[in-house]
Amino acid sequence: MSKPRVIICERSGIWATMFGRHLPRDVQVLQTRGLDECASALAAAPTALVAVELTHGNLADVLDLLGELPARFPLACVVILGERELRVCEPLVREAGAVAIFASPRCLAGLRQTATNHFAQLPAIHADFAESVWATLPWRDAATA
Amino acid sequence: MVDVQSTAAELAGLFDDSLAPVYVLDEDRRIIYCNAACARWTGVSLGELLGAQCVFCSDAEDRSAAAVVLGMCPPPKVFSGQPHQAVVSITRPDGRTVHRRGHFLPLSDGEDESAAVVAVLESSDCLPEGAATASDSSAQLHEQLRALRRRMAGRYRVDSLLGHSPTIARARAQIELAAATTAQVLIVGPSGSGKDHVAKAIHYAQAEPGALVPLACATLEANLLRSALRAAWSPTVPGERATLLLNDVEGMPPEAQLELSELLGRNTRRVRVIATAARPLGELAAQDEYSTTLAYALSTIAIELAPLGERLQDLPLLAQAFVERANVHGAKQIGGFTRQALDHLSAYSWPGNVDELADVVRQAHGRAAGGEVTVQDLPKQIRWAAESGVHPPRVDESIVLEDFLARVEKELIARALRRAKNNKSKAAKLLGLTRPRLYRRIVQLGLEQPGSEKQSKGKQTEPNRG
Repeated sequence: MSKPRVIICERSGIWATMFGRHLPRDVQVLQTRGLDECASALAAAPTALVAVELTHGNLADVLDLLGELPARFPLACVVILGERELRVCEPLVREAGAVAIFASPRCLAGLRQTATNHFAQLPAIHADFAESVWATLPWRDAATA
Repeated sequence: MVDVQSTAAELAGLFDDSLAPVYVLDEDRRIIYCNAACARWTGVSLGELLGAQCVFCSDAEDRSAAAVVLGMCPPPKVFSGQPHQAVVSITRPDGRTVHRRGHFLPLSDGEDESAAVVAVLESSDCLPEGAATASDSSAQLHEQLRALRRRMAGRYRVDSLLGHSPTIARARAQIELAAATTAQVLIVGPSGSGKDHVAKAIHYAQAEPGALVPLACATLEANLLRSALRAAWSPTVPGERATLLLNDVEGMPPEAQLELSELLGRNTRRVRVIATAARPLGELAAQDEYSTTLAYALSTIAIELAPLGERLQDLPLLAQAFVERANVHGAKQIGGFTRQALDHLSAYSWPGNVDELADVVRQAHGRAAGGEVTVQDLPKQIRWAAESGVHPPRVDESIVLEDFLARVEKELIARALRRAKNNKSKAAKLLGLTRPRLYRRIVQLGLEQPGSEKQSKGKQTEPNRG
């Protein structure tokens, strides 16, 4: 199984800096600067937690990304990073499928646990030969690892 | 004397060369002319646009050429002879939603209804209908919300739940029943079985859906979840109804369960709760793993979804739908699956259910080079499950350890020999063994008779395949 990954799509890099202080150590963080680049990164890591910066100009594109997720990347999870004046958009982005909304890089309480919970729920779909044989062994509930 | 044909040709040439999209609809709303700029703007080829029929209705979720054309239709009054300006909004095949102001000019042949309508769009995109300026954020949000709900309603129609199996037919009937009431609903099924899809189908099938507030109960940190629950009970629009969709509700932390119980106790008819879970909440409550009060409050209507392995008759239809969905998102067009590929899919146990099938089909679509998905395009775990004869674990059956290990070893040696074209030196290297040790195991496992190697060496020299 590959390392858990967080993809951050933002203009400046401020959010990524703060994310690094809150996420578990074993999580790989990938920064992107635009939604197209973000979508490509997500295609390579379809189980990622994606953090997208919401701005005044990209609401429609963010909604399009959220709309595509259930069909193309059902195991991914999106959180929205926004400014306080964009809180009026919160019901809209949540209805579109965002899991959480963070209004400031300094207010990321709950991010670590949310990310941990997301990665803990991912199924082991992509298996190499050894893992696929292991998956067929009986008495799965008595496994030691 | 004016050469009419030459003048008409010049006019057509002007339209052809225009940077502004221009198209003409006949009285049946079929596109009888469109220029290259129109094809570029819509992302649909001229060949697909010509002859396509526009209908004035909300767009559907799919991004076929026909769906794009739906957005190009002017209001009906234009066909009654009234020139009109309006914003034309379409969702292109690449998924982008774009808007352009259009001028619709009816052409009458003297009868009441217009014989044709000429549509000339401006040369650059604009804001959506209802958004007067970039700073008019309320109007823009309203339009965005309207467009989102229209798109979601199309995607989550009851008939979007595909399948002919009795279980899925029963689920569709239960969705319609649940949508006709305001009772709380609990949808139970394994991970990836479509619980979220069913929940949204219920919401959008209601007569007045209102707002949808989905919360990932097993993902969100406890305080974030409690805060979101409280916000759900405070309407953004006064009096607006809302559906609170609690995904994986069995993973809701205890403090959030308390918060939810209190909110449900406010006895408001404004919020309706639809919850999804992997197991019935009553079972969890009986084992002291969930609040008993909440378990029964959320389970007024219970809908059970079966694992994909229990409705394999639906698998070919689902796989076909997923491959056609992949065709929409990519340039490659795949027609379906070979018979052998479908057999392989049917032989797999699908622990991840429909979501896993969607992911497998997406991967296979990416690998497919021909017109159909073949066995070789399928991910490894699907091929191994069918080719090696690996069976799903039978947890109640005892095993003999030595026999089981011998079966695994025999399979690995046989595969190594096939890969090495029966060259034992190469096969030994693949397995990390010395050649003598490999030969001893081959004899012990019965893959060859003792002395067979000496006999074959005596008859011929093993070909040097180095």
